Amino acid sequence: MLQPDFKLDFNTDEIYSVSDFLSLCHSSIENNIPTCWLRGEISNFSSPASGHWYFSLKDKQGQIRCAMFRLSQRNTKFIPENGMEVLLQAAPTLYQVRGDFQLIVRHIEPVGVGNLQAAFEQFKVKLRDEGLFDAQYKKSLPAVVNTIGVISSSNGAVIQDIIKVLNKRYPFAEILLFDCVVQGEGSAEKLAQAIYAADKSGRCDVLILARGGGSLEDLWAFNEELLARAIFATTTPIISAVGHETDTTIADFVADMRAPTPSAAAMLATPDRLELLTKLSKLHANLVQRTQQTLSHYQQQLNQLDLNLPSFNRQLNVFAQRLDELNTRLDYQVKITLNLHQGKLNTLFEQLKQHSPITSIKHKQQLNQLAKIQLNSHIKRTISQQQLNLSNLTQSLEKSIRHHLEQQQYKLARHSAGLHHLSPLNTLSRGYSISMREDNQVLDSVSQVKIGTLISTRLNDGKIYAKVEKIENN
Amino acid sequence: MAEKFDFNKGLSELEDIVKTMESGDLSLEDSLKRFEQGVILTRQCQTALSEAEQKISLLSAADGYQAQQPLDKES
Repeated sequence: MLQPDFKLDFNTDEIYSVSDFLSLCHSSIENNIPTCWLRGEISNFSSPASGHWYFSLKDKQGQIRCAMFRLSQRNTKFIPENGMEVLLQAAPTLYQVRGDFQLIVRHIEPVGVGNLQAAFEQFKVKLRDEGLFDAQYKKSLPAVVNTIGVISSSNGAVIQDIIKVLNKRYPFAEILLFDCVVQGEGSAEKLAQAIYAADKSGRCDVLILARGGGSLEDLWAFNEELLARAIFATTTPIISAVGHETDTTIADFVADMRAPTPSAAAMLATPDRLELLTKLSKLHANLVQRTQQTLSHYQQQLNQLDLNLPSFNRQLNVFAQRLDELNTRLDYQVKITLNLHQGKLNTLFEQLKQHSPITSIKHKQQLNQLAKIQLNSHIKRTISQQQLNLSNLTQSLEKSIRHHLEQQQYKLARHSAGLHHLSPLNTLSRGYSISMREDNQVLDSVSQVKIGTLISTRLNDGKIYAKVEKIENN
Repeated sequence: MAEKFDFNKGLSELEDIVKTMESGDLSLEDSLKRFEQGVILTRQCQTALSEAEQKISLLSAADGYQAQQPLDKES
């Protein structure tokens, strides 16, 4: 406690302003206290819009203000929470604006679990709460796989393992490798793009996201939220196979199925050739067995029928005999009935015959025949009568004609003799002649000719042809 | 190979045939016809299994996973 009379021994020149004093402290602290590691529990954590983190680090006896700027957070995968025990590397400083002593945190990591492990746990909780791991969203693997999309690096053993397994198990499946970096800065984003491309290609029946084993850091891309959401968004079933059996990533939780290794993923995606062969053999055996059963079934039926055949035959014989018997009886009956009817029929026929128009027709025909004969003889008679008449007439006609001819011939002879006396020809023989013109006009007058007229003169024994040279009238 | 045998189709056809035969009620002719088909399918499936050749293609990020090229298995 200060006494009023207590005399302070100080130089007024040495009075500091607040800010000067803070500056003094600031440099004193920064120069004297090195960057060091502290362990404590986080409280009053806040992260304003700037993205910087502010919190208190405390233990049971005390606490200290801490600030961790965004730049320093780059390598921090988890987000500090109140109550979290952390180990941090920090440099003490003085926040002169408020005069607060505080730590500028360069690095922070959870105590017990690693930084990444903590982040992993945090993401896991977050995405699980969002439902990204829910069984209801898990797509089942297709029964038939023709094309498998593998999202992995073309380098390294992973793809070779997958190829080897598939070649052995199920060579039908075409493999499409969506080549992608699987670790390092930006790999999560690239993987997400590759998954998107594989899904959207629509060619793959199933996708395998694969990476070989590695440290948590190596595998970190598979824990990133971006990739988890890309996996969740696929419409193609996707199998995650990251790292070794003990490595589990967020991707494993989101994927439709998790395989402990890439080879295992290839096995999950496809049926086994050997299993298929076994299945084929089984099917074939069933086929053969069923066919044999069917055959023996029909054989049995056949045998049964064969067995039944003798008694059936006996039965048949009885029927046949009976039939014969009935047949004979029927035959007899028929014959009797037939005979009876035949007799009646004959009687009727005879009766019918008597009344038959044929009889009267025959009679009429006979009459007709008779009439015909009579007519014929009458006609013949008449004809020969007429022929006789005709012949008589002809004879008398001939006779009369001959007679007449003879008379005429006689007459003619007579006239001819007379005519002979009168013929000029007789005159000619006595020295007379007849002259004619060329037109046979007998000349009886000189006027009938002119000088130069050609004339012919008939004598008794020939003809003279002459030309008129002179005409004299008497 | 336009007439490539589809293993999965063949297998499911074979399964159908065996199922039908197991249900019975087939005439002798039908049974024998199916048996013959089944035997042929079995042989075809077995051949396909032993002769199937793996096809592997690589798609790369460089062109946005557009073009594909064959991948050498031994690389």
